[in-house]
Amino acid sequence: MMISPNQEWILTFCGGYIVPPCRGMELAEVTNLVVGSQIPIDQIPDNYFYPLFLNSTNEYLVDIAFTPENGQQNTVRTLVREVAWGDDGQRENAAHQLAVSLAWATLSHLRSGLLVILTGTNNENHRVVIWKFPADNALRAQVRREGMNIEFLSNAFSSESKYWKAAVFEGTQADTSFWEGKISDDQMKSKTKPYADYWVFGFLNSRPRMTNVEGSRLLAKVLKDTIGKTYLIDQKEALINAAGVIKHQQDTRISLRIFADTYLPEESRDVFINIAGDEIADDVFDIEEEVLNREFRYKSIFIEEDFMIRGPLDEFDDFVNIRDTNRENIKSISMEGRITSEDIRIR
Amino acid sequence: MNEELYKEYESRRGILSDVLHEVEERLKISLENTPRIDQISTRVKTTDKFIEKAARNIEGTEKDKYKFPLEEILDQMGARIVVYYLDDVEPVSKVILKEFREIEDERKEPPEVDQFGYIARHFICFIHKEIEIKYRPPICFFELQISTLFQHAWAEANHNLGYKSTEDLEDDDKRKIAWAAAQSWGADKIFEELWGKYGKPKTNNNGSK
Repeated sequence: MMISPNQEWILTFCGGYIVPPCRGMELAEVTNLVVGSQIPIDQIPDNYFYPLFLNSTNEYLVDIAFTPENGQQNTVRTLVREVAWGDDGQRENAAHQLAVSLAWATLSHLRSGLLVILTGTNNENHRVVIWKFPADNALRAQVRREGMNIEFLSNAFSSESKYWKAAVFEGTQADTSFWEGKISDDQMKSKTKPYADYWVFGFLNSRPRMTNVEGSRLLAKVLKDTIGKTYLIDQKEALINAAGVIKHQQDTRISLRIFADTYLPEESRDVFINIAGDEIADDVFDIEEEVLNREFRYKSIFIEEDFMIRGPLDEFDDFVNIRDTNRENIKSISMEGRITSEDIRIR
Repeated sequence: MNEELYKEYESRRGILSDVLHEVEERLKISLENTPRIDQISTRVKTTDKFIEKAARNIEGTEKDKYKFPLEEILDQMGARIVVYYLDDVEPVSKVILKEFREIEDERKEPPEVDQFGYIARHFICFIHKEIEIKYRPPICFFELQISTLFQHAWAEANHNLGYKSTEDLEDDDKRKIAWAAAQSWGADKIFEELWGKYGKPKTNNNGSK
């Protein structure tokens, strides 16, 4: 055991495994291809790993939940719990099984990886952090007395690659703990793919904690609130149009932050994220068109082709009064309210 | 009684109640277009019942069932949906699974096929993250039961008898309770059949009603 420098977390177990991509292979074969073992805590580069371990719960932003397999069971969750507080033999066995599970889930066109599992305790709390460092070529340079020496390393693993992945789970030994965790996936930065399916669905046997219905409804609510706080007509229109665009991207996996960065005018992004809250802005979900249609509905009426009145459907009739006249096809329209913005444009 | 545990649970009931109120609102909205729902109700477990449950032993042993009762007792926040017919359980379940992320999805029924007793569909679900951020409750899941009118009637009548364990019952009484459960099972089957025959909207061969 190693007592951390600030005595906050005591690191209790570390395992490292080379994990080749083995999707589609037989499990027995995969087990033989995964190599590695427990690493004594005092032999890990703690000035690299300890800060990663410590900051994991703050920096890994996407909440996930284990998928129940049979009632309340989940094989990966069981293994994570065994790694967290099993005896040495159980921990090493569980860590190896996790490595095999990752190899089996990894698509054949992906690179091998270094799986590192690090656990720690803090009073009754246990934390398990899992990292995958993808294989990468590297050069090592050394200045020697006889001159510079450059060596090509084919067995290096990268912490900077976009294929780097991480997961953290934390809780007590309660039966109900470790049902959720957080992940980090540098593929999130691509904005088109918030995380790799094989890491969450395949390896961790999990799903985003936020359901698609919950996320889509939240998106609609935050967007409506953002429109309410926006006074410029151009920006309002851009926000309404953004909803129109995203509605038709059924099954697009997104977070509120990715939506803001991709679809909203720059001036509106901070407002949108402030309304959503940082804590929820990175949770991912798939767009459900039906939910957006239900929760985000704007009614527009055009008068004589040039004049438009637009507003939220559920408030429209409160503000806009439309009456028949005694002239055919002619309506009388009246509104009462504050003018919050006026715009003159050359079209 | 564990005084500390009592106080700790008592102190959390207010927040749990606020959270559950929002959960109930969400359940009602999400199910407003789902037909044949008799009731949607929620409750926070009373402190006395929580302490009673926390004190339970693992069956047949002297060992505590719950090492961390404040985390492990799953029905501190409970919701119940009662539907008319057996056929109505699945559509409600589908809505629930779209709305909430589940930790557990289980059909509770007697262990043997020739036994009669408690039957219901049980979920343990995460509360929505928005609610969790708003209230910061000490637990973030609730239990949801879906049962038919007859399953619910039997369960409520049985529960209110007040016995703590079936070991307290005489053999004849156990048979009577099982007999009553069999009647509710039978009533569900009969009404399922009748509903299919007379009540269910028919579709034509071309799929229209």
